[in-house]
Amino acid sequence: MGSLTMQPWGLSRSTECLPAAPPPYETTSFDPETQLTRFYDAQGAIVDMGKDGTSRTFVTVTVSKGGGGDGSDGAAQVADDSNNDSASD
Amino acid sequence: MVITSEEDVTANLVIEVLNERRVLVARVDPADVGPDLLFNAQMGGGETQWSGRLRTPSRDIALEQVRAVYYRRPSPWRFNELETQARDFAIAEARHGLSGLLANLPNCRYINHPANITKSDFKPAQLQVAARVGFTVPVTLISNDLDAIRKFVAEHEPVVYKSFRGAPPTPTGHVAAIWTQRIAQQDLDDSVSMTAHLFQQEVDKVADARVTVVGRHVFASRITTPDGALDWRMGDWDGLVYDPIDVPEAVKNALYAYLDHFGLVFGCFDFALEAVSDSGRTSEAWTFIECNPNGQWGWLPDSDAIANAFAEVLLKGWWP
Repeated sequence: MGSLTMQPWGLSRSTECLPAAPPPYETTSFDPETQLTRFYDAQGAIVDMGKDGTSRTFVTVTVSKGGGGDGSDGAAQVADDSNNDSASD
Repeated sequence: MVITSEEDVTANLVIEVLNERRVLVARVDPADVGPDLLFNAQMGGGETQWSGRLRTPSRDIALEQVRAVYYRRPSPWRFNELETQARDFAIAEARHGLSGLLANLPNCRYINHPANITKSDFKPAQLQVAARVGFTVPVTLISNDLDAIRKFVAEHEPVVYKSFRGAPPTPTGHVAAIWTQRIAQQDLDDSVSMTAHLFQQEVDKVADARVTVVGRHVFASRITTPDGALDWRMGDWDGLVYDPIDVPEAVKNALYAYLDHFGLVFGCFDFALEAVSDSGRTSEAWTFIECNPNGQWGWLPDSDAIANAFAEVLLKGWWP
């Protein structure tokens, strides 16, 4: 067997690290009444991530779309929309 | 009950519809376990099922009265203040004691049950079940044997490589992607033996189809990329073109059979569409690529209707 490189072959097929585009919101707050999360931009204005909003297309399928959006912030983000392998099951 | 993290946008869409229908919704993230998430559940002594309370800062609910769970995307466990051994203990106990309880509520339906999500998340299971329920699947090899992979590539060119789970983040938190990509003999080397790799004969597709099934509601979009990319996730999402598409009856029946096999109520299916000519008439052949049992769908043109379908299926039979 030849010499093995230090990473599995499949990982050598990955892209360069994707640019970490920020999510379209800065902060979140939780509304106890409706159990909905509200998303705010840096100016404190509501970002409409819900019905009829333009930002609903925000997904975590590619991280170039930004981290978060499914709570995977700071965890094992994956570049598709599979479950996180580290999710609290 | 909606089991998910605070940042989950997809769950918001369903909670909005449930609120419109005046259902009492509790959003619960098991990772909050601690003073902000207290629970007790008791059985035995004549009681054959769990009953008890679960309290968050904004809800205090009876576990035996939870009628439906939308299981989305809980946060990873935290316990960050604990030493490694204590943290490992806390995580394992919470997984079994809290998540295990939430997966076994006595009077409850699940979309989807977490055990069924796990079972159906493995691509070897997906492809085999897909083939058995009648879908066409790509010629596929899973292997770490360089000779076997070389032989497969030679026999089935063009061949694509797909990772099972994508690239984990680097220690500095950077993330890369492994897009589905065509590969050649000379790209391969001994390092395939280090772990499992999946190769498929490339489908000569003219478009992709994303089919979201909720109960027996089927929502389908034909997706094309301006540049005809092999993997539509890699390009500019704003440039994707969505067209409504009719799902052939045979495909629909296979979708239901697939979900039923795994005990799933909901699934996001991806298909490659191939142009075929049959005695002068052209049509599109559907090849199963994968089914994500916990996919995001908020970005699809049908998302309002999908959210309503979720509410309908969650509430069926116990709510007007």
